[in-house]
Amino acid sequence: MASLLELDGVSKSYGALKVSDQLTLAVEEGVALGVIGPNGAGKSTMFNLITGDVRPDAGRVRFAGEDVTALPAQRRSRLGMGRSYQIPHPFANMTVFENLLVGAIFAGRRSERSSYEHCAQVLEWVGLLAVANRAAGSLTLLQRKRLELARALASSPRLLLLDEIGGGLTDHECQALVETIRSIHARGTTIVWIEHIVHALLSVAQRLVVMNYGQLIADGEPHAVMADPRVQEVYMGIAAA
Amino acid sequence: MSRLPEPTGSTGLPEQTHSAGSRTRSDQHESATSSDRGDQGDSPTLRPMSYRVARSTRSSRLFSAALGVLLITLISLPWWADNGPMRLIAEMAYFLALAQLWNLLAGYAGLVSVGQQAFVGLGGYTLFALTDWYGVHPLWALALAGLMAALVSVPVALAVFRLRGAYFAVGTWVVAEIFQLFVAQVPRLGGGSGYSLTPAIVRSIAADRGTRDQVLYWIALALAVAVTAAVYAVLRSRHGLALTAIRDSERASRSLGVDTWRTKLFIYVVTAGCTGVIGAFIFLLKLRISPASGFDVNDWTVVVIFMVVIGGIGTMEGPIVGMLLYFGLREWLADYGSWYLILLGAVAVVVMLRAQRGLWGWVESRFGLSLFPIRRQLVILPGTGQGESRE
Repeated sequence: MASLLELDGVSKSYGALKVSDQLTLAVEEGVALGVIGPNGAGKSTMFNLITGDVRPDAGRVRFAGEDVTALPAQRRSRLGMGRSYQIPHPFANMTVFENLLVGAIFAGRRSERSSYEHCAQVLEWVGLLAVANRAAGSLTLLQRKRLELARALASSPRLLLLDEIGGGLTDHECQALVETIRSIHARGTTIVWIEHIVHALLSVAQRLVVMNYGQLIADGEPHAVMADPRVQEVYMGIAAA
Repeated sequence: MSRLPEPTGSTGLPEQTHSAGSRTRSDQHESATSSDRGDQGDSPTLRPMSYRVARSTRSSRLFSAALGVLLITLISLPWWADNGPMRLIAEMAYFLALAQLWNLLAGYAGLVSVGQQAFVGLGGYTLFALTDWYGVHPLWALALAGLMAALVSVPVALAVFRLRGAYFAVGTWVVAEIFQLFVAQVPRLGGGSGYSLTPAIVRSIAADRGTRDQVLYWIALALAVAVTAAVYAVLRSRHGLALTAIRDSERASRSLGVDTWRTKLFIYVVTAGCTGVIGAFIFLLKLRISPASGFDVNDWTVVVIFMVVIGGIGTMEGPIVGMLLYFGLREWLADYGSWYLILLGAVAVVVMLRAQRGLWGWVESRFGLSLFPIRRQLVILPGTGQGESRE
C-alpha cells in the first residue's frame, strides 16, 4: 500500500532545543497509527509540522503523493488533512452546526447547501445533534472534544490527526470517544493519534511509534513496541499501567 | 423537496427591506436520511432524519417589515419636509454607512483600523480631481472614487497587514497622515489650504438648488441602505462564516481550510472602496475639501468608533443604535457648547463599564433579540432522527 503521509528528515529547532530531529516516518493509507512519548518529546510539534502550523528548518513533508512542505496550513487541509487540537479551539461565538460548516465548506470544498446535510449527519454520528444550535463556547469538555473531532470530520479528511483527544475525560467518556474513533477508522480514514491514555490508544492503533527528544525511538506492532526495554525505560512505569 | 436559493448575496437586501412573510426564508431538506450511513455499527439509534436550516427569526421578520415602512417614509421625505431634517438625515445616513463599514472591519475581521479617514479623504479628493480636471460627472466620480480607494488599499494592506493589534491601529493612522501630508504638497489640489468645487460642477447634478438637495438626500439614503445590505450579505455568506471563525480562532480556521489572509484582505479592500465612495459623497455635499478636513481622524474615525463601540461592536444592529444615540445626544446638547463633548465622553465611559458589548450587546443577551440574523439554525423536523443526545 502506498504511503499517504511521509516525513523525510524533518527537523525543527527553537534556539538550541531540537524539537524535531531528522524525523522520518511513512504512514500507509488506511492505517491507525498511535504516537506516545513523554511530555516535551515533540509529538505536538510533529503534528504542527505535518499540518503546516509550523515550517520545518530542514526535510520534506509529502502528503497524498504531493510535496506539501511549502504549502500553508489551509492548503494542506483542503488536500484532506484534518486535525484536532490538544486544547480545543472551538469557534466560541458560532453554533456547533456552524463550526462544522466551516470545515465542510472551506476544507471539504463543498457548496454551502450540500454542507448542511453532510454536517447534520456528522453531528448525528458523533452525538452532538442535540446541541447543534448551541454556541460552541457553552459546551462541556467532552462536547468540546467531540466538536474538535466532528469539525475535522466535516471536512471529509483522508488523514485525521488527533492530539490527546482523550485527555481530561473520565474513563467512561473516553471509552465512548474511542468507539467513535474506531468507527471513523473502520470507514477507511487514516488516523494518527497522540495519546497519553495508552489503553485507549492500543484499542484502536495497529501500529505504534514512540518519540523522545524529537526522534522516533521505537516503531512497530503496538504490543511488541510496549514490551521494548527502551520504551519501558522512557516511560518508567507509565506503560505498565 | 423544496430547494430554495442559497442565502447569500442577492437575498440580503430583499430580506431586510420587504420580505416579511415571503417564502425565501430557509433552505429546506426534506428527509435527508442517514440510513445511507448504515455501515456504522456504533449508533443503532439512527432513524431517517428530516431537517431544514432556518436563517430568520420572528423578530427579524417583523423588523424587516418595519424597516420597509421606515424606508418608504424616508424616501418620500423631500415631498413633505423642509431642508433641515433632510440635511440631518443625510448626515445620519452617511455616518451609518461609515459605522457599518468600520464594524465589518474591526468587529468582524478584527482589523482595528484608526486610519479609515485615509479613504474618506482619498475618495473626496478623487471626486474633486475627476470632476474639475477631467469634467467627469459627479455621480460617475462617486463610483470612480470608490474604485480608486479600493485600488490604493491593496498596497496599503500589504504594508499594514504586517502589523498586529495596536501596531496595526497605529500603522493605519500613520498611513492616513502620510496621505494628508502628500495631498498638502500638491498645488493643483489646493495644497494645504483646500479646494472648492466650481459652481458649474455643482449645477451639473441638478440645475436648481431644491432638486439638487433632493438628489443628494436620496443618494445618502441609497448609500446607507446599500452599505448595510452589502455588509449583511457578506456576513450571511460563506465569507461571514469564515470571518466569525477567524475572529474566534485564527489557527483553527486555517486548519479547516480558511485562507485567513485573503479573507481579511478582501474585507479590507471592500471596506476601503465603500469608504471611498462615502468620502467622495461627503465632500460633494460639503463642496469644499482641505487636507485637514478630508483626513480628519476625529470626524471620520473617532466618532465612527464611538458609534460602533457604544452601539455594540460585532453586531449589525450596534452601528444603527450607536448612530442614533450619537445624533440624539448631539441634537439635544447642541446648545451647551463644550458640555456636549464632556457628556459624550461620560456616556462612553458608563456604557463601557456597564455593558462591555455595547448597548445592543446588552439587549441581545438580555432579550435574545436579533434583527439581522446571520446564524444558521439547524431545525430537526418533529418525529424524525434522534430526539436527544446519546451521552
